[in-house]
Amino acid sequence: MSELSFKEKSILGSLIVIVVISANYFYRVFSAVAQGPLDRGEMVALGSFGSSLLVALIILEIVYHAMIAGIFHAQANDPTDERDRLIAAKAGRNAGVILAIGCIWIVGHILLNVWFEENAWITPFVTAHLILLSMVAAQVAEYVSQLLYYRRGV
Amino acid sequence: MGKSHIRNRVKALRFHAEQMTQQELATRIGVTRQTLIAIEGDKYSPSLEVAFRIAREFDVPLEQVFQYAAPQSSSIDPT
Repeated sequence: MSELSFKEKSILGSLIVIVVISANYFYRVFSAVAQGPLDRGEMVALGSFGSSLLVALIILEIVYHAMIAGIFHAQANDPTDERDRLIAAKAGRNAGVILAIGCIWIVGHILLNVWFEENAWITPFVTAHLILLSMVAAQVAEYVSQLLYYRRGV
Repeated sequence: MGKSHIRNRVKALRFHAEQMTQQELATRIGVTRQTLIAIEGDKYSPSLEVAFRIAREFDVPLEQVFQYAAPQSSSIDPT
């Protein structure tokens, strides 16, 4: 496998960071939800945990990208060309599809909950996190798509 | 991400042009070196504008740089 380009290194780093951070957060949230209804204190605690992870994500992104820009400074200044724009557009389209599927799935569950009064676990707190999970999944899909297009061609 | 049917002789033409480097050609035609590598490896078909720029750099017709290999189509029985 040939050496990764600067853009691929940048995307791969962002992908790893978002997967690790979000997996950590969603595991904590859905583990808590699985144990039963959450009280305000537990939700606030999860919110604080999420905020700290968000700060960690931002710091990790900044540090990683500053590091690779410093090491590979010549490539870091490469302009964005037509292939980069095409890959970004296609990957963005794929992300949109994932986000749409996630939202439709969530809306379906909410409607079923309303119509049949089942799935008592679909609380507003859980719904918000399912939407957030869809957004994260869409971002992951975008990163993976970009890497595949850069590696295998577009 | 289907395999492109467009082939090119960019690498060969570059070699015959006093062994022009990838970076030199990429800069002249307005793409990154990575994109030129993708073009030479048949992993990316450039836009028409970039294709014409490549042909102009080597001072050859477009058809001598890029070739289209039509896919084999199965014969259709009219009856």
